Amino acid sequence: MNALPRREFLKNVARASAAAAAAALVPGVAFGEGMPSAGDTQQALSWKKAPCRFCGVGCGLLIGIENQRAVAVRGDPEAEVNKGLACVKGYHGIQALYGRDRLRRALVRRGGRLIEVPIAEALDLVARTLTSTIEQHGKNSVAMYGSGQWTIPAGYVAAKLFKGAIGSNNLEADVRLGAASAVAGFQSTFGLDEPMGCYEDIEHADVFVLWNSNMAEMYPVLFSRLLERRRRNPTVRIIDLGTRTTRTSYAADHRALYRPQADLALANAICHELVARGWVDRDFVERHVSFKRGATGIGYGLTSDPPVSEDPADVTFEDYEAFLEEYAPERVQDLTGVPAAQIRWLASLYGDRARKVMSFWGRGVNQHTRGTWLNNLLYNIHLLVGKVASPGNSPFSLSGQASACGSVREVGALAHALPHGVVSNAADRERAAAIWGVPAANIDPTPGLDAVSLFRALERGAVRFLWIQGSNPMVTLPNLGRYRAAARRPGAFLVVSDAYPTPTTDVADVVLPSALWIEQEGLYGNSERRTQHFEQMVQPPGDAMSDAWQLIEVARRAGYGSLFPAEQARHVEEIWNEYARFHDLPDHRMASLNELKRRPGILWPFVEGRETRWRYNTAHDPAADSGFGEFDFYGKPDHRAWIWLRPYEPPAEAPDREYPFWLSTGGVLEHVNGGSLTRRIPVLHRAVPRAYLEIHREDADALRIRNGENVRLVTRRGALVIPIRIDFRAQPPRGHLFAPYFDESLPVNQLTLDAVCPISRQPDYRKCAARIERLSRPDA
Amino acid sequence: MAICSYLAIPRNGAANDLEAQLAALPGCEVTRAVNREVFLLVTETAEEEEEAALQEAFKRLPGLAALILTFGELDRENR
Repeated sequence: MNALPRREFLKNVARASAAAAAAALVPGVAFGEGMPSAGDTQQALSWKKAPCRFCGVGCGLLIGIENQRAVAVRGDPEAEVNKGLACVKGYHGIQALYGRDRLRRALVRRGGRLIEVPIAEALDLVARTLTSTIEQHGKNSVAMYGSGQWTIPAGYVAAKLFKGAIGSNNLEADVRLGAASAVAGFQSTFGLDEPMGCYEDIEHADVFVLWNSNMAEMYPVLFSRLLERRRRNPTVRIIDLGTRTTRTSYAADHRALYRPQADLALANAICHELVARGWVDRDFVERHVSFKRGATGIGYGLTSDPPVSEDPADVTFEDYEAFLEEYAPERVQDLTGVPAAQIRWLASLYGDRARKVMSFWGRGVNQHTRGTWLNNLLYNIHLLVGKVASPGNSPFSLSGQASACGSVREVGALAHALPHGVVSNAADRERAAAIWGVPAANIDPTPGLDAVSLFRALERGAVRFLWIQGSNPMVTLPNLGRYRAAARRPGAFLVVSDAYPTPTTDVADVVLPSALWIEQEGLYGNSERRTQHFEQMVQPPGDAMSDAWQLIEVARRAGYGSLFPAEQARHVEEIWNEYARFHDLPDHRMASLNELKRRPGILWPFVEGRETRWRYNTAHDPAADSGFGEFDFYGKPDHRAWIWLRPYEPPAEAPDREYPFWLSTGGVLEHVNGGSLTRRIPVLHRAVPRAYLEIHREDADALRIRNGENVRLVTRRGALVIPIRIDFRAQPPRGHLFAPYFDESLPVNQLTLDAVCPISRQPDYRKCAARIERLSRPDA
Repeated sequence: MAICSYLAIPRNGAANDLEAQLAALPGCEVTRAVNREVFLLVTETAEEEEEAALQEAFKRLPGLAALILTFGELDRENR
């Protein structure tokens, strides 16, 4: 093959990528002669597969490597998730590797300043301080805070080090801020975490109901699959339910705005209608559902109280019917803001036996002081009509980060969890101890501190050593000013592993430079239980090393070396093989590493070479016992899914005369979490360079505020000067404000309330009271 | 230098106009599918400002229903 000029070669790759994407989206499409063949795109670049490292959709990408540098990206046409597509973040993700201010050397704080040191010296200091803190203050004085951007090996090693070796369950991750209510919802309804269905449900569903999820921006490739399903089948309907009008609303067929917190009443009202209209699938309910009543009036977690104990009481279907009486559509239309007729119509979509229904939600449901309850209520809707765990009938909780599921939820990197188990279960502890090679007594049966409680413990001096990896809590925590002060408290020792300087590295005592994404071998796990392997493609800069290997280096120095791989070249393989033992059951397994290396991703459970696409469905899930009928909800001891009686309860804070607006914070298409990576990608940074405050045009007019004008945004936690945007991406209703939180220079989360769901302990970033003050201007 | 490719989907009845408009934009190469109303668009820009201007030009095309990025070659050092 004659070598093409580089420019022409890249254009061929671009043409071939577009043609492959077109073939996936528009079957049968042809572009005639002259299109480049696959062979034309092989020159110079080597293409290697990797999952995207940004959101939880888990798009498969092909990364073009040239001279040890990642230079091009295309969607992987072999990847079932995205079928050759990617979003603007995915296509530009490789640029996050090459920011000019990458951390290349370890830093240690001396005399108030961070000084470069050899990495071995920094690792020595971390291990020495970890050990001495445990000796002086006990094992629960140390803690770790990781990330849904961890690899699976990193999350697993952290769990083993903290829970198995040190014996402290103070291991948390930023997943607590994004998905803890999803975890608690799955656990309380089904007994096991993560969705029963998969993205293939989209190709079978007739109706998509989106609950406060701006999928068009937050999960763009997955949303494109919904649009494509509708394009091919014009009877398909997309329904957008939410608290503001977004890009998703404009793409939907129907939309309804509901008032903050009123989603609890809205979901119950839909259930009321399903029961009242006789749309309940009685046979499914009688065979597969139990009814439970939990505690009410559970507060807002504003102190460091332990999680609420559920102690569920058995109730009957008739009790449930009576509970729903107060949620008749006419009775809740004023509370919800959704007319009774529209509630009935929504119920009719779920109740129509001829239609398959998917519900989607993410942080807009989970970040809620009753987030667990709301997850339960959305499952209630699907369970009443038996639309669950079968193709196209799928309540689907989406995770926000690339590996929130794989690297945190699945490997036991939350304070209550173990790999494939929980610390409070003796059998789970014994199995973990046996696999880890530690005494069972090492594993504490009491859950550790959840994320917010952990930073509160830092504030009062109960936690004195905190290691943060791959996360930026000094931007993302609620009521941020409180926890920034806690992090600076004398006596607290903070280690921060990251790839770039952030407000979190600013408060660190030690900064360890981390390898990013394809600078290491790793695995991610996406929202649909899909595990995805990627090899190391390029070298990390300077002394940067993977989070997993940093942990192993510290473990070795702290005297736990025998528990972890000794050889860096094989550590991922050894860790995966050990972790897979937690899942090594006759009817529940993970794929082998070799299998994962061959394919863009594999759904678990993976038994005898087959992915399990619909858990609990006896036709699809080898762990489901057909003796229970078509479904076996084996996560619960009674082999039934649980419908919970969860009432409406008011939010922790609501607008009043002094603070007349609702304030909500969240994400935008171009940025991920605290923005430390996406703000270093020029095209993303240029598109949305700064945070802003969305307001309804009529509210702006009433306050005589112009588009682009700076205002002072004030809550009971503080104030921030921020520019106004009117009719930009989205339109909040009157009385509502929205601000994205990716911008470390405008940390809007210092204004939010650190109220949490008392069950899941996930903060509610979506509801607090605020006011706007105009700044004086010459022409005012 | 940045090279990107896209799928461009025209609005109903606007395919011919859109093809001409895209082809007239600087640095754009358009290939029309022979059997569907779908275009492959390959763009080449030398500078970030040029790329930003091109993106703005796309937004002003009335016949463009959707533009889907499918490839990005971005071998430039960022900030």
